[in-house]
Amino acid sequence: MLRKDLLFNILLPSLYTFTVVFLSALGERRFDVYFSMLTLEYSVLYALFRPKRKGREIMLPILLFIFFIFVAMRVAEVLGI
Amino acid sequence: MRRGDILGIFLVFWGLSLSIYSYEVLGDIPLTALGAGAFVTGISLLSTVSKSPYREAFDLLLKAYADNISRVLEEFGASSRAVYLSNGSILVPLGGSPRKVPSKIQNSLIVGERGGYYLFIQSPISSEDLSPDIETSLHSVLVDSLGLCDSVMVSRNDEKIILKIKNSRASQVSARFSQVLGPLAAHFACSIVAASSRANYSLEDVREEKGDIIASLVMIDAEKGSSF
Repeated sequence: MLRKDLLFNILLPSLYTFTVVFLSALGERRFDVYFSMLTLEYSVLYALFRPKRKGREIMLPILLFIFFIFVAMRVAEVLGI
Repeated sequence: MRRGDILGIFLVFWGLSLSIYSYEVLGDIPLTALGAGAFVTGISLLSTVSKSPYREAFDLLLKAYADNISRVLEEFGASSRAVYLSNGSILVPLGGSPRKVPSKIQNSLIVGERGGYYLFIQSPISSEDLSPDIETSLHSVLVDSLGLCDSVMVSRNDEKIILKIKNSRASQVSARFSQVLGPLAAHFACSIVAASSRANYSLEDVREEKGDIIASLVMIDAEKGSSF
């Protein structure tokens, strides 16, 4: 494994763990907040390290798709739809 | 199955189970998020390339390429630094210091004219697929495609370029090859620099420091688009 790929796979769970611990310590109970942070961290790390994948990258589009669903639900909730 | 894959599979199943159990039974959102994070990490581990199945064959091909070139260099007693041309070919001066790069190069092993003969070698690097930006090309070929090193840093000063190839993984080459063309990773890097910048470069100096290779190149002829 290339060093940048190893770094990606080490930093990703580290950031995830830190984020979950930090948000739960703040008393956050909304899953979409956690998921948004996970998606953001994955996107930033992917943009920085561009890990080599077997075939195409599938996780990032899936995470972004789910993220936009949560955004749409939140917007609908605000608009009262 | 390698350890990374085993860990990835474990994280996928553990993450999925934890998420579902935490959400449905415990009603605990942070644990659900932790399970989702573990699931994503597992997928990332499983989809990361550890080593291409063709890596061994590729390494053997590279070694054979280097060995064959070394034999030719040895046969002709070549000892001067090579000149890397913008079209991906390489000229090795025979019999002393190089003179001006010939404007027309025949498609034969020895080219040149009286007073300045060269060995003509074709490198595997093609100029057609390379970006005009040297750093992008070097990273794309050496790191992403060939996996010959961890990273490449480029420093420019007028007509001189200094490359730092970090943690080179290329196989060792003979002393003759290294003297004329540089270590294998540096050899490819020089070809990429010349092809990407559409200019001819001469390898001025190469040294190795703790697994890193530092190579300095000098532009010798700014003529672009030379045809052969």
